[in-house]
Amino acid sequence: MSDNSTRELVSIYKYPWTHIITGIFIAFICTVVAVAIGSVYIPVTSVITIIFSKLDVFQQQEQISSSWHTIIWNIRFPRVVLALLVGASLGISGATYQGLFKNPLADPYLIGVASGASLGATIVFLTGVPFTYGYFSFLPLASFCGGLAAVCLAYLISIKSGDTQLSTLLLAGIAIGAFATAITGILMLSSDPDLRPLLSWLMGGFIRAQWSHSILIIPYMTIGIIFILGYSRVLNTMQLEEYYSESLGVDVEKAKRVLIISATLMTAVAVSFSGLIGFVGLVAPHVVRLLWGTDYRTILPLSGIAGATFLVIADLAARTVVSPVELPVGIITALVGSPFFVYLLLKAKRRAGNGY
Amino acid sequence: MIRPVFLLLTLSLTLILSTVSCTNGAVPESPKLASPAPTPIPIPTKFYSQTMPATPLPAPTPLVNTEEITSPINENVGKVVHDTLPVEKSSEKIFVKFPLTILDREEKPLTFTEPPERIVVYDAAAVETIFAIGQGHRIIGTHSWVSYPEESEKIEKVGDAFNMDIERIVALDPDLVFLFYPTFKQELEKAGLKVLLLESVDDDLRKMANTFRIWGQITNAPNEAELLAKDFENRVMQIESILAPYDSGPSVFQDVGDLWTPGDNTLMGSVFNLLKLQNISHDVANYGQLSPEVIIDRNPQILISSNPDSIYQNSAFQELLPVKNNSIFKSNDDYLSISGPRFILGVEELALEFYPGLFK
Amino acid sequence: MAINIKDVSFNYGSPQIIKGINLYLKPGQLVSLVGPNGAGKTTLLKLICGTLKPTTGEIYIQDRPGETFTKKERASKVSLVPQNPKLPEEMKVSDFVMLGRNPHLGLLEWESAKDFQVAGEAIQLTEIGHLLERKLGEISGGERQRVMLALAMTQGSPIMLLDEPTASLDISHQMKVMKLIKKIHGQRRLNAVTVLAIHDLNIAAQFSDRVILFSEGNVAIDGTPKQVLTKDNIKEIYGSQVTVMSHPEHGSPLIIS
Repeated sequence: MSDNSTRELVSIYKYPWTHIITGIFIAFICTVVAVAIGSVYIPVTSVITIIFSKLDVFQQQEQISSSWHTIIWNIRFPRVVLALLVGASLGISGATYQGLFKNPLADPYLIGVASGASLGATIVFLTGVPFTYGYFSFLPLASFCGGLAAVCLAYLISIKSGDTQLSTLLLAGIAIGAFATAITGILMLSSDPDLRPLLSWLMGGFIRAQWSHSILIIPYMTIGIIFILGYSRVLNTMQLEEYYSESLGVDVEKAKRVLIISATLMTAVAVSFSGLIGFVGLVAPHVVRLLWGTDYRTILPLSGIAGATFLVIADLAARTVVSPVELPVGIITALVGSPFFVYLLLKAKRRAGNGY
Repeated sequence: MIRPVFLLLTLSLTLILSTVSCTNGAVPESPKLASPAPTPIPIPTKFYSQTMPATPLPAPTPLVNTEEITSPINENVGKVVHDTLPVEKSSEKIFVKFPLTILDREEKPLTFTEPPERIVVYDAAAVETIFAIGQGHRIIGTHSWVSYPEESEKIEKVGDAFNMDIERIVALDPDLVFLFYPTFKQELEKAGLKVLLLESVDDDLRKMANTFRIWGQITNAPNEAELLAKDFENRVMQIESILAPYDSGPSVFQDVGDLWTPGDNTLMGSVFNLLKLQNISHDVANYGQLSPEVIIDRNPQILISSNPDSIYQNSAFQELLPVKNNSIFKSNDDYLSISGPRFILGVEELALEFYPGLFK
Repeated sequence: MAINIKDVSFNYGSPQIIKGINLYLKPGQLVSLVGPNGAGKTTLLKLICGTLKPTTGEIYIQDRPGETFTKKERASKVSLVPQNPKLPEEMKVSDFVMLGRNPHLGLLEWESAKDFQVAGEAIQLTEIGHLLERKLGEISGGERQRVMLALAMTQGSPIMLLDEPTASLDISHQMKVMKLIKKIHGQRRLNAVTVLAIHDLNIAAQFSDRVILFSEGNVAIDGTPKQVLTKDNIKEIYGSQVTVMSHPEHGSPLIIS
C-alpha cells in the first residue's frame, strides 16, 4: 500500500529537467536573436559566418567587412554574454533573498545590498584606483565589501533589537540602503562636476561590456552559485518558522550567513560591471515561482535562466528602440518589471480575496 | 506542465518580436554622408599618415576684411528694446541709456533703472564674461564650480551648480540674480528678487557675441563688451573664411564620457558645423549615448574624448583610425564646456589640431 | 532511546520558567506533560529538541549530553510537531513532508529511494496521499495536523515531541489525530519515546502510559494516569473542584468538572 505513495512521491520529485532544458533553450534562442540584431544591420548569414569563423569550425568562406567582425565579436557578443551572466546573478540572488527573508518583495535593490555595493564601487570610481590589473579587478571586490557592509549592518541592527527577526532585517536593510544612496550622492556631488559617466553607470547598462568583464565575473559567480545551490534544500526548510527548521536539523544562523554572503557576492559582482539594474531580481523568481512552485532546488536555477533571458532581451531593447542612441537598460527593466509586478500583486490579492 | 512552458515561450516571443519590429524601422537608414565634395579639405597629415599620403596644402585664402563683418545675430530675443535707440554711436563710443529693458528667455521684458551693483551670477560663462568686460566687482555670489578667472575664487559660493542655497542668496540682498537654467526662478522671484535668464546659447555658438553685448548693456560697459563681441565674431569669421572654399572635412565623434555625445542641435554640434567636421552623431537629439556598434559602423576619422584612455582600452575600438594612430584628441574642458569668452580658444584649438596646414 | 533530564532550569531574562527538573523518560513510553497554562510544558519540549538551550543542567539523549550533538544529529534523534506554527502557504504538501529528510541528507545530496520509502510510509499511515499536490494554505486544520505528523514521521527520529496536537480541532478530529499518534507510537521501534504536551486531561488519561503533572516550572506529580489524575492532585495544582470517574470503556480516569 505504501508503495503507491512512494511511487507518487518519486514521480512528483522527479527533477524538472524538461523545464530546465526548455529554459536554457529559450535563453539560447534569445541570445542568438540578441547577437543577430543591433543598431547596425548585419545580415544573419554574415553573423553566423563571423561566429563560426572565430570558432575555427569553418574556414572563412566569404570576405566580411572587418567592421562587422568587430561589431559582432567585440561589441554584441561580449555584451550579450555579460547580460546573461548579470541577469543570472540577479535572478539567483533575488530568489535567495526572497527565500531567506520569506518576503516575495525582497530584491537586492530593496534590502540595501545594491546601494551598498554601488557605494563601494563609487568610492573606487572616485578615488581613481585603476579598475583592473590583468584579470583582477577592484570593482567587484569594493562592491562586495559595500554590499556586505550594508547587509551586516542591517543584520547587526536586527540582532541588537532582540531577535534576528527577518522583518527587522528587511526594514534595517531599507534604511541602510537609503543611507548608502545618500552617501553616494554626497560623494558624487562633492567630487567632479562632470557626473555623466558615473550617473550613467549608476543607471545601469552594458555599453562598456567587454569579454574581460565576463571573465572577471565568472569566478565570483561560480563561488556564489555553488554555495547557494548547496544550500537550496536548506533554503526550502527555512521557509518554516526558525525554531521549526532548527528542529529539522538546520543551523539557521549559519545558513543565513552563508546565503547572505553568497547572494551579496553575486549581487555585488553584477552591480560592479553593470551598475544598478532593478526588477530583474524581483521579476525572474516571481515568474518562476508562479509557474513552478516552491522547491528552491528548481526555483534557483530557473530564476537564473529567467533573469538571464529577461536581461538579454531588455538590453536588446535598450540598444535598439531609439537607435542609434542607447537607453539605460534599467529603464527598460523597470518599464517591463513594474507593470508586471503590479499585475502579480493584484493577482495575489484577488486570490487572497477568494479566500481559504 | 505544458501550459507554463507555452506561456513563457509566447512571452519571450512577443518580446523578441516587438524588439525586432522596433529595430527594422531604425536599421536601413544609412548615415548621412557629406555631399560630394568638389574641393575636399586636405586631410590632416597627423591623422592619416598610415593610411593615406598627405595631399599638398593649398595656399591660405585671404582673410575677409574684418571691418565688413556684421553680427550674424538678428533674433528678437536678448535684443535691447527701446522706443529710442538705447545704443548710440558717437565717435566709436557707445552709451547705454537707463532705464534699460531686456527681453529674457521667455521674451518677457525686464527693466533696469540703473546698472545692478550686487549680482548673484549662477553661471560660469556669465562670470567669465562680466570679468572680461571689467565689471567683476559687481558679482557678489556664484556657484562652487566656478573657478575662472582667479578673482572669482574670492566671491562667495552659494551652492553648487544644481543645489542652490536660496536663503543665503536672499541674505546677500542682490539686485539681480542671473541663472542659466530655470529650476529656481520662481522661488527666487517669490523671495522678491529680480531674476534674469537669457536665451540659451546651447544650440549655436554665434549667439555668444550677443550675450556679451547684453552684459555690456546691463553693467554699463558697452564698449568693452563690443570689443569682446567683435573679437569673438572676427575669430569665428576667420575660421569660416578659411574653410569657405571647402565642402566637407573629416568625420568626427566626440565622447564626453561613457560614449555620451552631442548631436547636431547642440553647442558642440554647431562648432563641428563651423569647422566643417562631419559629426557622426548628427542624428542624436541633444546629447545621447551612442551605440558603440554605430560608432564602429560610421568609422569616425577624428575622435575627441574627455577620457581617451577609456577608448584606447576598449577592445572594440582597436580598429578605429584615431586609436590605431594613437591620436585621440583630449578636449580642453576648461574652454569648450563654458560658453564664455574663452570658448573661442577651444574652437581655435580644434581647428589647429584638425587642420594644421590651414590654421596657424 | 532514553531521555535523561538532569537539574535542568531555564529562564528568559529574570523569570525562571523551568526550575531544576529531573526526569527520566524510558524507551517505549508515550508520555503526557500536563499542567496549567504557563507551567513550562512547551519550553521543556523545546529544550529536549534543542531549539532552546538549558540555562543550567543537561539533557542526555541515550546517555550522550545534548550539547555534543550537531543540529543534524539531534534532529535525527528528536522530531518536533509544534503547536499551530505558521506554515508557508504556497508550499506543496509533498515538498513539506519531504523536508523531514533534511537531517539525513548532505548539502548537495538528492533524496534516494530509501528517503521516498520512509516518506511514503508516513504518508500512508497518516492518510494524506490525496493531499500531496495541494498547497499548505489550502488544507483544513485536521489535515494540517496529519501533514505535520507525516513530516515528523519522515524525520525518522526515535523521539517524537508533540505540542498540543489536538488544540483547535473538533472532537472527531481530536480523536482521529490521537489515535493516529498512538498508532505511530506503536509502529515505531520499541525504543521510541513520544512526549505530548497537552492540556486536555481526558485525552492524556486515555492515551498515555505516563502522565507528568507540571506546576510552575516543576514536576509536581509523576506516574501512571490513574496515579496522577486524582481529584486531590487536580485540586491542588489547578485549584478547581472536579469529579474523577473511571472511563466506561477503557477504564482510564475521566475528569468531569
